[in-house]
Amino acid sequence: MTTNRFTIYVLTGLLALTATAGSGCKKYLEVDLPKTEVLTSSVFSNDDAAKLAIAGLYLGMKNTFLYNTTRYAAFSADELTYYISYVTYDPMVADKVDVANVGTQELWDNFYSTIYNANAIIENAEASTGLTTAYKTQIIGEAKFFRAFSHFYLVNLFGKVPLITTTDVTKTMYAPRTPVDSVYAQIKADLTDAMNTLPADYAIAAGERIRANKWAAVALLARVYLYTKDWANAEAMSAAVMSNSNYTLQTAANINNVFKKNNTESILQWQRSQGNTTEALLYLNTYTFNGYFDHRMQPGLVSSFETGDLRKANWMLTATYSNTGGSGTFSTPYKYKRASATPNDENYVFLRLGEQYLIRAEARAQLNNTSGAQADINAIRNRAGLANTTANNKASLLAAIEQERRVEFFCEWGHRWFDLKRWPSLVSPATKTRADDVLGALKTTWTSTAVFFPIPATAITTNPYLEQNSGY
Amino acid sequence: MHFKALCKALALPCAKRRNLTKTLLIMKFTAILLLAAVLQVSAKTYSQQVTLNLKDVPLDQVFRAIQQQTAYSFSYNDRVMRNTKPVSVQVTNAPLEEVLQACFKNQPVTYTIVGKIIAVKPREVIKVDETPSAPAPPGEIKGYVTGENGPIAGASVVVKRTGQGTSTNIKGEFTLKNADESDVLVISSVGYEKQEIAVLNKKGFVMVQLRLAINKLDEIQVLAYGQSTSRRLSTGSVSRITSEDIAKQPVPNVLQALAGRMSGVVINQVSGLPGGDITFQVRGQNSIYGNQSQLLSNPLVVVDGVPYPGSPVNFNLNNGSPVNMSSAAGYGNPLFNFNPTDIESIDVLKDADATAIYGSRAANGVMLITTKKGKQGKTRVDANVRNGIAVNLRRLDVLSTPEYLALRREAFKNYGQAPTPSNAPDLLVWDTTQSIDWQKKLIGGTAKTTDATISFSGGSGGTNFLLSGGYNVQSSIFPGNGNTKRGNMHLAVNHWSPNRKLQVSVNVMAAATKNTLPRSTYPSLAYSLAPNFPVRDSAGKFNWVGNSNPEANLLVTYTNKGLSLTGNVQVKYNILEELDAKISLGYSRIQATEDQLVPRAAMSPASVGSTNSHSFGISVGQTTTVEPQLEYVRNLFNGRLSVLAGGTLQKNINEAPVMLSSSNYGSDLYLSNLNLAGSTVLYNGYNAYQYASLFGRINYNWQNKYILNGSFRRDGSSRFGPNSLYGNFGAMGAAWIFSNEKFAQKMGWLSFGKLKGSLGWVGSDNIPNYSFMSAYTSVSSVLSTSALTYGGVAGLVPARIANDNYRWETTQKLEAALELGFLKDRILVSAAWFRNRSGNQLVGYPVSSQTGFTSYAANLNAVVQNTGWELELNTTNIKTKNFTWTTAFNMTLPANKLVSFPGIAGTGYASQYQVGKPLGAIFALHYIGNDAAGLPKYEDANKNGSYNDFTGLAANGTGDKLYYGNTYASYYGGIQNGFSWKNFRLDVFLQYSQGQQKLDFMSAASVSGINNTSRKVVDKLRSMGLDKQFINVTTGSPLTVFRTYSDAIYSDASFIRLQNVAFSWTLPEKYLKPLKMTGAKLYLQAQNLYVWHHFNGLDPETGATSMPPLFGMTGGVQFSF
Repeated sequence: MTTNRFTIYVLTGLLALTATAGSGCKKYLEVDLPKTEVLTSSVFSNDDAAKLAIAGLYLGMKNTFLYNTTRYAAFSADELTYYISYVTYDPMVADKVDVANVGTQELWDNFYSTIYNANAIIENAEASTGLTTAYKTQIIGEAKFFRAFSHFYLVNLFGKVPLITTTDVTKTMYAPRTPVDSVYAQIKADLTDAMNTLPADYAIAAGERIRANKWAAVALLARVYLYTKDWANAEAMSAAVMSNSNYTLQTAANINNVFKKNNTESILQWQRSQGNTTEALLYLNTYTFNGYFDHRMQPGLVSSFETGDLRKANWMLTATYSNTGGSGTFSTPYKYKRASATPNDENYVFLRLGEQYLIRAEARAQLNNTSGAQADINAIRNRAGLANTTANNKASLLAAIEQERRVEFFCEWGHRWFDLKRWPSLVSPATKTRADDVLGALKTTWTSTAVFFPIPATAITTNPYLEQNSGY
Repeated sequence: MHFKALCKALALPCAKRRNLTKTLLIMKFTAILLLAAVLQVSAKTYSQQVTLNLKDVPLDQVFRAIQQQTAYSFSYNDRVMRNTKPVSVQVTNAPLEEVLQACFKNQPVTYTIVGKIIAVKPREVIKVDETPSAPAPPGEIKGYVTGENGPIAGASVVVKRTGQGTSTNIKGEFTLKNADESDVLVISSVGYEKQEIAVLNKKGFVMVQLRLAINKLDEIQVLAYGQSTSRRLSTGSVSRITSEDIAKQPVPNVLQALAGRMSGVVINQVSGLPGGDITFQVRGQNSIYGNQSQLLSNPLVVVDGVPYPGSPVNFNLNNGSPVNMSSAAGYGNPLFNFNPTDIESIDVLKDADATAIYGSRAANGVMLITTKKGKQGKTRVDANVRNGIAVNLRRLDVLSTPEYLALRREAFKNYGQAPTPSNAPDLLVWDTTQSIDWQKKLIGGTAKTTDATISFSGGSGGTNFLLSGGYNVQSSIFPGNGNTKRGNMHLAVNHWSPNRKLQVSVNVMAAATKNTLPRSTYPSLAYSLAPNFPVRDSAGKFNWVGNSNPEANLLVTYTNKGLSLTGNVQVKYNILEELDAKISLGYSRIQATEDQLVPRAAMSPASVGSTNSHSFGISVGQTTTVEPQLEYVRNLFNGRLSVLAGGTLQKNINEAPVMLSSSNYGSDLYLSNLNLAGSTVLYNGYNAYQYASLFGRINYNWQNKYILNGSFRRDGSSRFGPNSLYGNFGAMGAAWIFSNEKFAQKMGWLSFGKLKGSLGWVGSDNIPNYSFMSAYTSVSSVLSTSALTYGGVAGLVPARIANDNYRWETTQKLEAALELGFLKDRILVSAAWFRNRSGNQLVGYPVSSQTGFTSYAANLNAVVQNTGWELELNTTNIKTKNFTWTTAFNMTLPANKLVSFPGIAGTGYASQYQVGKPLGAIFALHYIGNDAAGLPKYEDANKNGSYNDFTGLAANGTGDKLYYGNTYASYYGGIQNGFSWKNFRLDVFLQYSQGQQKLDFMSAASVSGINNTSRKVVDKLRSMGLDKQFINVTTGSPLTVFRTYSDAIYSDASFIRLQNVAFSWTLPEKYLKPLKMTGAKLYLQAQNLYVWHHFNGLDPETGATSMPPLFGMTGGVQFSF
């Protein structure tokens, strides 16, 4: 009797357990998230949580990737060499980059990663019901700024590139390369949106110039108009930044402040929470330990500075040595000076006022506003301790601007590399670029097709619709 | 004590079953009737009390008196009672057991209690006459079947005359109708030898003890959820290795003992180092894994019913952390945590019929590890101590110093540059008369192994136990004091209630390991350091090549302390005669605590931005399972039906609760004090996996002739989104044992014949956790930078591209097999054909990084097929009284093919795979000679005018790469020969694998820098006319292309390996007696003695320049009391 009853209990128990296992499955199968992750819906549920995503947009651009953009462009132009043979850098210095180069691939991957982060913020913020309208507008504006910034660099490094404005993988995975004009159109649209929505001050970062605001969008837009030869708009945009009270040029005496935190020339900086920008460490480390520079400025660049140029004395470091690192006198960039983490007084400068002067100068020269161009050039020259320019017509002004841009922006964000590629050749302007003149004379390995890096092999193998640049 | 008496009566040496052969003539099974039985004196008898007052009465009169007072009845034969003596009993309320003992004292008979029957039997065992004494009227026969560990449930009992039968219940009892004293019963049970027994007893009561099978066909095969069958009766495909074969191999990781011994199973050592990573694969690669690591594609490992991690817990794809640490031996295979001596058997389930019951976790096959358990009988002590050495016998023929220097000068000359002290210190700074044998210095040491195991086991009443402990220490062949240590403990207890309705078993295994192998890559340094590289300069400071200096690198210390615990509890209750309920609870935990200290002194001063550092991490993997089950067994239409229904809840958590990397210590002296770090970055990682399923299985065996097996399950996995959580899977298997048919029994030479087949569908969720989920993750965990905040706010970035439409991958498995036994099973042959087709491929789909990521989780509409033949042959070639020679041979002929992949041209896979070719296909540029400049030229396979297009396959129209060969073997297997002569035994095992291609020396060709190189590479470059360009200070991309993409860098990696030779001597009993031992054995074993191959590299298995498997030699002694 008791056995039977017991049996019934056991059977019922087992059935109940099995049934629970069945019906409770769905619940049971909801696993705990990895402790390092947060559901996307939670991230955009309120302003405080979304702050982490916007911080992630900035942090996602690693410091290595930022200085590598600068450095790889400098190798490819007539600015830097590396002291020993190195598989990633040699082809850049020779302008013979192959499709498997990990350096150019890093740039490609990281700019597109930033674009993904920006698109994710735009889409999720737009879909969110928890964010305040003001904050939503602001972070979408910032995301659009960096989407434009990334596309700008991609289009200048690689030529035609896929234009990516969504996170939807089914739309992006096989997207072909978009004509350069269309990419620029989107860049302009994004920057115009950012300009119209972002705040005109630095209040969102408590006065620190580390978040993209209205003026960052205007400044980048000025550069975009310059690159696309829209001189009038380039002039208007740069003029708008220059006339804003947030920004004033440093004096000649304070020229070393240009790369300091939150100085008055800075429009947008990138903050490193732990220590200083690592660019100084990159250029100075081997010198500190072994007494030689591994990154060396090309002799032509070193000698291009006029006598008395404060930038040569302050932004460049020269040393003579004879040891395992070679022998002779070499120079290395010294715009950033803090190789150690402390004192933490340098940020990485994305956009600065000096560029706006030279943008307006170039636009004015193109528009035949000689005196206006001269004034802008002179402002920069005087800050460097140099006398006014002697250029007085369009051709000589453009030559003066080339010289000024070369020494002002050397080894900085690819300015020289991009300038050489966008300017027509002085010899055969119809068919060649300034890069052919300059780099053809400097490097025996130069070919005109080297103006664009090859589309990385991994990008093409996974997207057969991408065609390779010519020459590769 | 009972057991000992029984053995004596049977003339069976209990302790040494292997020696059973002594008492058996070849394949001639003498039926032995046992009126004897064992064990199992029911505790209930103690509760029964009797009061008797009898004087000098015949024994049977006492029986009648007891029968009246208790529920017990007596069973005896008149003949048996003939010589009994009268007894006197005077007791009041005495326990029955005491009374019986008194009555049977000094009698020629003894007794045994089975259920409510007290069976009386002679003290001496009688061998059965073939002819029963007297015919009796047809009636009912009752009986009782036992094995070594007590009653056998489910044993088949068939009347030979009528072919009708029944099977035993949970207590081992059976009742046969329509049988009588003249009948012969055929009794069989899985894992035991079949016995024929004549019924002699007028009362119609038969007791049988079955002996464990020594025949390959009858060996037990472990199946899912504690079920088992024998090869004779199984419908599925299972490969098995037992403790006996494991014991012959002195390997630290039991997985290595499987290599070559199982058809359809490929075991590959990633590194030849002890404790190193091992990958294994069952019946080929079913899945296109995308970017996933091979270390994660292992089959499901189940230890005594509890899933155990098959891949290393400290591997970051497992523990979810952003960083990794590892020793020279890699992460370490988790099965290293088991003492091979603790393992009774390993069964690998291969086809759908065998694996479907494990459902989605079984797509890569299932490996069931069964540990040793205690056995009924006297408590015994087994001890085993062995010592061994392992050395590297394989050398790379590198250049001598003069040759090396000449090559370097040639490289400068070819470049047109003069060497300088900065770019050629080997020519201008270092002593050019020095000649250092780096291979001897860095990988030429002798690794010593000591291994000791002791176990206590036994059992009485309803309880068995086993307790064992082991210790293993193995030093390394590298400089320094690094070693691996392991301590093990194993406890197994099994208890039956006296009425055998309740069974409780507990099994606990624990292991502590410590690995201090150096982290430096000594093998590659040993082959590449310049022969005149001075470890220190004239000032006593370290010299450097890059960041390497063998002596300085020794200053880096790595310690991995491992803890492993597996435990399970099983409770089984017999609810009704035919119904069992069981619940199994399992838990396993494996933990690795890693510490790595890198002093600044261990790094080149030139290394940019490097500081001293201390990394520390804990990784924990835990699995919990709950598996309730109901099993119903009954006889139906002269057959046996068993039905199993149950559920599984499983939860895995793999995590790194804390990992940190600290750096910038003021001095190397402070490294161990984390508090003094200049900067510290903390990480953690977490990975959870949950799984739930309901399953059922039905098996019907009709008279051991026709066997049908069907299974079904519904699985849910947390790895899929809410839209496709569940998958339904199932399989059918059938077997026809035609040798049991009347027509076959006339064929005397055919002793066994079975035809079987199975078809089923198995799912796979073998993808990373959370793959479908849209989430953000911290920036530091993705990028491993120390930039943790921006504007004072921590950053989050998208973790992946989410995919809600993620579904189960399904593999259809089909198999047909024929198994034959000839000449009384002296020759056993089996041939199986299988075909597995996997569709709906789960992949980390590689996408162009323009999407923001390089892959995302998706299903691919591609079908991968694995087909193959598996042949196994076991023969007893010679069997005489003193000499036996047996051979076991297996061969697998696999074929892997990408059957279809609609639209492959539009995907990233177009550059990796070709429809119609195996997943392991090698695609390469076809080298066709050199151009005028002495650079290699390749076939312009896609006819676009350029021959360097190495990004894609010509067949898919995306490049110049052509199909070259296969990384998979075209056939592989092993052959074992065992010889025993008197007490000596010799086993020789050869493993072979033929047809696979591997990257050879040329792929590692580096003849441009300050590094030594293989003479073969130099010679080959010269003979190919590539020396001018490639023996050059700067070689540029042509060499990269040549040694990465051309077909000139592969060679045939076929091999035959003399894997194992084991010799042992079992001490004869006359030596043991004085030592009071029950068994002793001395043995000598050697592992990896020789490899026959044509491979243009160090070892065809581990590759061109990886650490080849070590040669090992071990001697030991094993004894039991």
